[in-house]
Amino acid sequence: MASNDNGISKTKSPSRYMLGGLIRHPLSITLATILTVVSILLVTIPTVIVGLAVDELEVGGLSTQFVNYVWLIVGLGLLYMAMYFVVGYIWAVVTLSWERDARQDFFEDLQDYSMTFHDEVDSKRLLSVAMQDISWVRFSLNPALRNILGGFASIIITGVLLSIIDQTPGLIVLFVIPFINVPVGIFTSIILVGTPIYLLYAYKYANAVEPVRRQRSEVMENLTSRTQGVFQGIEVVRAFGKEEHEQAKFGEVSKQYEKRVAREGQLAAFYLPALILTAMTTIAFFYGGYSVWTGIITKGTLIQILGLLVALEMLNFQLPHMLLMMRGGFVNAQRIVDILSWKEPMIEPEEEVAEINWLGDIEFNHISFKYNTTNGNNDHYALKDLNIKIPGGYRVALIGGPGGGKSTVLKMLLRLYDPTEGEVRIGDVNLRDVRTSTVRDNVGLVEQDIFLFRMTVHDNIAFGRPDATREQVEEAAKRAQAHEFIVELEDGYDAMIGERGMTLSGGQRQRLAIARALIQDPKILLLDDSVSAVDAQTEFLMRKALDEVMVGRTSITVTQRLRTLIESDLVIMLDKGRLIDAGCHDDLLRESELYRRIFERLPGAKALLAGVAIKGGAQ
Amino acid sequence: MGMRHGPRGMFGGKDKRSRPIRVLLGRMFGYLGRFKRIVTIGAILSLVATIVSVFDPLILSIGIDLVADGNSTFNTLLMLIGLYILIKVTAWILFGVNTWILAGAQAGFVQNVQEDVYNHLVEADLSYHKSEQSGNVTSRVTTDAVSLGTGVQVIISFSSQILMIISSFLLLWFAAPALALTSLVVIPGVAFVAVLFGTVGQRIMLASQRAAGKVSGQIAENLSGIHIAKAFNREKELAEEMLELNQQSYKHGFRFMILMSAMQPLVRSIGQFATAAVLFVAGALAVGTLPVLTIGQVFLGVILVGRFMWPLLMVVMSFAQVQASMAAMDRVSDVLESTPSIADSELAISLAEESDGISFEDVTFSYVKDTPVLKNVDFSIAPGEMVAVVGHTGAGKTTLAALVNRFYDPDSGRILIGTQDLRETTLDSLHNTVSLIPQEPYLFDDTIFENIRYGRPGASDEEIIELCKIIGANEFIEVLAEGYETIIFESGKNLSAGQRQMITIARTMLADPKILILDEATSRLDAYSESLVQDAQEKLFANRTTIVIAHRLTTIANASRVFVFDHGDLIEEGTHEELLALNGTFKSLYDTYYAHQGFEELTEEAAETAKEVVKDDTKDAVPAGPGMMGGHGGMGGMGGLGGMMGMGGPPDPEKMKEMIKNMSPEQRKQMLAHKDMLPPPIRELLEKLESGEES
Ligand SMILES: Nc1ncnc2c1ncn2[C@@H]1O[C@H](COP(=O)(O)OP(=O)(O)OP(=O)(O)O)[C@@H](O)[C@H]1O
Ligand SMILES: [Mg+2]
Repeated sequence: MASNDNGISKTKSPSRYMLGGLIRHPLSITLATILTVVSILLVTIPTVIVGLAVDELEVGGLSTQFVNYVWLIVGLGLLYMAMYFVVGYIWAVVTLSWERDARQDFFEDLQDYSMTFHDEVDSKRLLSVAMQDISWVRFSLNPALRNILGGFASIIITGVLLSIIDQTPGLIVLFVIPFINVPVGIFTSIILVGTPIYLLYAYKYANAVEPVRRQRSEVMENLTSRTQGVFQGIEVVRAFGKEEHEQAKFGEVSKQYEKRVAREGQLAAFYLPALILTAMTTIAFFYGGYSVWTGIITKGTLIQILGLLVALEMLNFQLPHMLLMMRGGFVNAQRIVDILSWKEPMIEPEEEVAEINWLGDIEFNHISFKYNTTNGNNDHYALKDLNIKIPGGYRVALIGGPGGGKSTVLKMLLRLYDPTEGEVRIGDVNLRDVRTSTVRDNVGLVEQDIFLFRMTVHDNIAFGRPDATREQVEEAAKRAQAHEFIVELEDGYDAMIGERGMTLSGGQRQRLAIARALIQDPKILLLDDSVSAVDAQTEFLMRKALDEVMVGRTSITVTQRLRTLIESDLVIMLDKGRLIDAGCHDDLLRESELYRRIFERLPGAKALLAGVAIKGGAQ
Repeated sequence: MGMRHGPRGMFGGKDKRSRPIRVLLGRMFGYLGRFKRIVTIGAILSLVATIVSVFDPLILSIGIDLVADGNSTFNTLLMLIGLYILIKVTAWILFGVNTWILAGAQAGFVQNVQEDVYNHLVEADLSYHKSEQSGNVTSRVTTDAVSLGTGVQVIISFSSQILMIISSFLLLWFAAPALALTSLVVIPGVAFVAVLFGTVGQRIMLASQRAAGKVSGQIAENLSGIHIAKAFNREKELAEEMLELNQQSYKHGFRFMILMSAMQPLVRSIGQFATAAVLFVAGALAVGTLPVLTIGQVFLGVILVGRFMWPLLMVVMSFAQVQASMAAMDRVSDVLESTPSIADSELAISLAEESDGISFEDVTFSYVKDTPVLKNVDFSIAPGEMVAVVGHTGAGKTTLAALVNRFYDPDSGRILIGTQDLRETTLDSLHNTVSLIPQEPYLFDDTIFENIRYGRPGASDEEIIELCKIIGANEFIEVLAEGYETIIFESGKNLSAGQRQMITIARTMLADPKILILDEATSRLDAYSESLVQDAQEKLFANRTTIVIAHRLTTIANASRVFVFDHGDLIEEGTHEELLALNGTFKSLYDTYYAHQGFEELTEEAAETAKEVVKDDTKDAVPAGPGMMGGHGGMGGMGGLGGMMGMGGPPDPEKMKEMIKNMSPEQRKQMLAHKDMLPPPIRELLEKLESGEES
């Protein structure tokens, strides 16, 4: 994924990420593991007891001993229930709190990454990783890992019990474990040889799911993002009568998805390890049967052996599924780690410059800037060798064509990005030496396409200062000329704003955004005011608002308003990232050919110039 | 069909099902019915496999009895073992084949549902899409369809588990009826577990889904507003809010998990009690003078009871899953059962070639009942006419555009193109004729080429580039790293706002519609780029029916008539001059507009400067060059009276006439070129003079 080589990152391996939660609670997990082993023992022992009971039956009939055996089974069942519940409880606490913390950490990491990251990575993808992938990793721990551990415990316990049976005199001894002198017989060997083979194939089986699962996730992502794209732009689809076209396109993608899903489902068929278990049971059946026939072991013992192995077969119900889940979880963990190992190019200074004069001069020192793009190699400069000095306290207007780099300049000043080359200096301090949070405390922005949160009007205005009182919020709203329309809303300041501020008009949204910037009382105010979809009345109010708020700060306004140009102390013209000209309106009008051409296109300028000419000529 | 619900998160869902389970299952099987052959084969295979696999404990139990009796031969043992292997392998193969083909059917099922739902949604009413977050709509196609797929899988395995339980029971019944009856002791326990899950379990599950939905909604919102969070240093507070939601979700998830974790020990210990019971009964029957059971049968009883337990556990565990997928089926059914109110009627015919011009006949429209957005609107636009629509925010301008596109139907009245009522024409032909540039530029995640080509699929690359050159978009597209092949990302995150708008303009212009509607189509462009677009429009769309909606009066300068809307009423209508003379709303819009452009505050000094500049320009009027703003040359020498409008009180008519008469013909011509900037009386005068001289 990400391509920055000169940043910092917090890389982790996927398995470490996955097991992170368990490692954090070593005691609980150890306890849970011990309890798991014990409780599996509690459900396995009854098979042995059944064998003993059968032998007892043949010897002593319905004796008290037999009845005791029966009660023992019941008792063990109860004990198991209690104990296994505790196991479940511990796992629930540990894994769910892991999930919660993982999601929280993931979210916080996303927030901390600079805008460069958010430019590169699709937010829909981030959302699905935050929700689904993290959940799937948790599934891979609980229930998957939990059940797999249980399965292992069953196998080991069965092995131990079989090796006890193997001690029966008369049975073939294959070899004796040195030092401890434990003879190993056929039944133990079945487990000793069978289990590794079983596990080997189980592992292979689970591994096969990896590429399939990965592809499936990717196709699903593609499908989701296409679908969402079409539904978001449904008006465009309609307007061009493209419904059928989109339906056909979707048909293709969903067929691809179908293939992947089928493929993954088919992996679960022909679970080879099941046959291995069958082979194990068969051998035990054969040798056990033979031994009973020859009278070396009792019927009860044979029942024990077969019972144990048949119980093991029940693992086939669960284990394959759980193995896939765990292996799949690893893929998901990989995806998460991929995102978390993004290298952050924006580095906060170790030590911050103490005194910064925010009202000092703003200097762009040979700034060049490239946005990072998804595919990495971008040689398109959004800003190229920009060199300009803005005296403190000035009102600056920024003009230029689409994609000229105006919004980019504003983002640089907020330190949302660091320049690729050159430096931004404010009050003779390099912005790189100032923490982003300090920069953003002192620089306020009203962005081009206003984003409002689904909160109340009050909370939206107080966004930058959550502790602001209602009076302060109202004060800011008044200065931004927003108070009047707010009090007319149904719930006034407590009105909830719909998704993306849908229920407010462009001008209203912009005035809320101005209030939001004002309440912070920034020393440098940035206004990306280049949307002109407001009516004359609103425009008038907005002008009033802006006049009001620019006093006593350095302000930079991206604008299309003639009047702003005339009133500015400095006009900066950008085109395709390059500085074309700069100066005050009068000077530019006199000296810059290009400025005149732009100026004359502004609404009203023709009439204005014409008037001047006539007037001059008439005198 | 009620398709309006409040906003929800990604996993959101309504809590109550509105359809009985029978209907939902019926629909599910309806889909499965499309895979009749496969499903039938699967069912048969699964039946056979289950029956075969039930016999293996029987073999073991017979084996135990045989070897114990001592009167069997080694060969019988071998034979039994052979049989055992045969049964096991056959069952394994049968189950494998079954899983294999059903996996295909299940995936096909999901695909079928997805496609159906998607196709419905693409055609669903716009009001539905507007009332839901796009993420929610998408989850009908993704999350819900997948959940249905899981549901099908569960139901299939459910039936094979049930089959397993029944056949195990039958086997036990034939081997030892008493044991079979004893095994029924598990029923109360299992019933208890099932009820627990059906009631409490479901409630907990829903609550936990809702909590997760909130988390997801919050993450989505915070990600799209990340730049604002950063700009205002609010990351910490947002993280805290997140923590709270996460904690809620944890709490509910925990309850659900505890319930799930309780299941396994519950069911397994119930199984263990059953083992004990069977052992006891079997023991009692196997001893004594007249043993009814052999030891092998005791074994069989114990094994078979143990065998019940896993399928039972699975069945009970899948309850929650089935519930969830029924809920998904319910939501999906909402979509499938809704019939869009806007669709081709049976009598719909294509829009005729000669149909042109737009008429509204007494049109009233409301989004929400009883709050009309357009009231009794009545107008007609002649073929080839360009009309501007102005008015304050909320006046209903965008709605008007939507109605012409038939995104909605009017509550009353008719909308006609030519003489054809929109409701009696096919949507396809309508959308081929009418094209809209919407207020919010929307782009798809594809290359710039493809986005523009969306307007006309057959267009060649050259045509697209040519068009972009005309509207001035080529300049900035060319310099992007990948030029026209640049992939647009998240509906245009990697482009500037103006660039996005330019591309939407190119897209519509490429479509070359007969009727063009521009809804604030150039609001994000600077004046220079806008003028380029206007020139292109003049060139490419001369004499086509056009509606221009704009606040910026320069945008509408070329319109022959202006409609002024106010709160849904068409209050003024006429040429610029007529409306200005009317001294009504348009006049005041006009005045406010120019008042705020700033020249009333122009200082004497600035005026002087400008004057000089203008004079200079006359001398060296530069031809449009290749430079960045390769403008349209100077406007030097242009004489005019417009300045007087800005410079103070009402112009003195006598003085005006004087001035105009003193002008050279060239000056007058140039003034006329900008006549829309002039007050009507002066314009008229000019025109009169001009025509007088020519004749
Ligand atoms: N997030 C981004 N990722 C990649 N490229 C970007 C991104 N944002 C902007 N660009 C590119 O950077 C250049 C400058 O864009 P910017 O938004 O600064 O322009 P602008 O002057 O504000 O234009 P407008 O008037 O249209 O708003 C453009 O070519 C644009 O395509
Ligand atoms: Mg911009």
